[in-house]
Amino acid sequence: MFHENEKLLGKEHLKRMEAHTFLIVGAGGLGGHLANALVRLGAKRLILVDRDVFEKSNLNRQLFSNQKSVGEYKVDAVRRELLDISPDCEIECFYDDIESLENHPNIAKASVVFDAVDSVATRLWLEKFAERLEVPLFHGAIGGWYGEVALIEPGTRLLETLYGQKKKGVEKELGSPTFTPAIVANLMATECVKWLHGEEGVLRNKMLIIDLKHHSYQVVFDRSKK
Amino acid sequence: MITVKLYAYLRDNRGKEVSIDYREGLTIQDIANDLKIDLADVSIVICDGKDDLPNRMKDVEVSEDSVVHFFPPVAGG
Repeated sequence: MFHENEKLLGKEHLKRMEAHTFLIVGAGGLGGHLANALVRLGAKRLILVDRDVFEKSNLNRQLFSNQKSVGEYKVDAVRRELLDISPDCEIECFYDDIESLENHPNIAKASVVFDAVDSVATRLWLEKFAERLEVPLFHGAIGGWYGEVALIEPGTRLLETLYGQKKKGVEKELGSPTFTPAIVANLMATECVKWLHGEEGVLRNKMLIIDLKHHSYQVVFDRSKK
Repeated sequence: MITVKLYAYLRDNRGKEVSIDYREGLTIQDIANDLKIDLADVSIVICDGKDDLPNRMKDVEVSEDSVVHFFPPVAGG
């Protein structure tokens, strides 16, 4: 399965994907699309964390929300759908806030962390958590037509710098349409694959700001060029 | 003439692009004040290709044909 990816990504691709345990925090808009992409890229071990159940209001944008899964824990529905794609995938689900799982031994097995949550406070917590695990954090955030993506390496505290004392983003006013989480989540997966293969051009400790409405794509915090 | 590009809700009642007349010593903070933008609501400022946090950019003096971008924070999942 998934050998088709090797045409582009090389013979080592699946082996490298299989070597990692991917922790996806947040199984909503970004998290669902991200889990889908990782499994189709050949991921074999995933950990999903989200305390929420699917609601009707999620149907416009959350990949695995549907008439059957409304009312079900998001992580359970996502896991079931992922296993339909890749039956031998190991997927562990947690139904709590990530903060309460800080010392869980299975969470600590994560070798890559994805920030797909919707709270600034949790994002800042995750940045420190990934730092403690000494693993990369792939950050994604969305709001309306806008999104951002970054790979944050331990010790750089990019999110702490960026969000500072801010408590919320533009999504509270703009909501999130169908396409924005799909695009941003797949960019997160793209960056992860590039990182995995040591490709140049990874958004390493810099951030891509995406404006889908006016097709403006800006990389900020790029200190390597200065 | 300075071009100021705004994103997301910063466009409300201002439009997506605003032109401001240059004056001697004009800073990013002055531009924000002119547009009634609270820099606390901004996450990143870019001025002529240099980007940074608003508190590090606010005293930067712009030039006659500067292009300035104000981005608000995004945090949804």
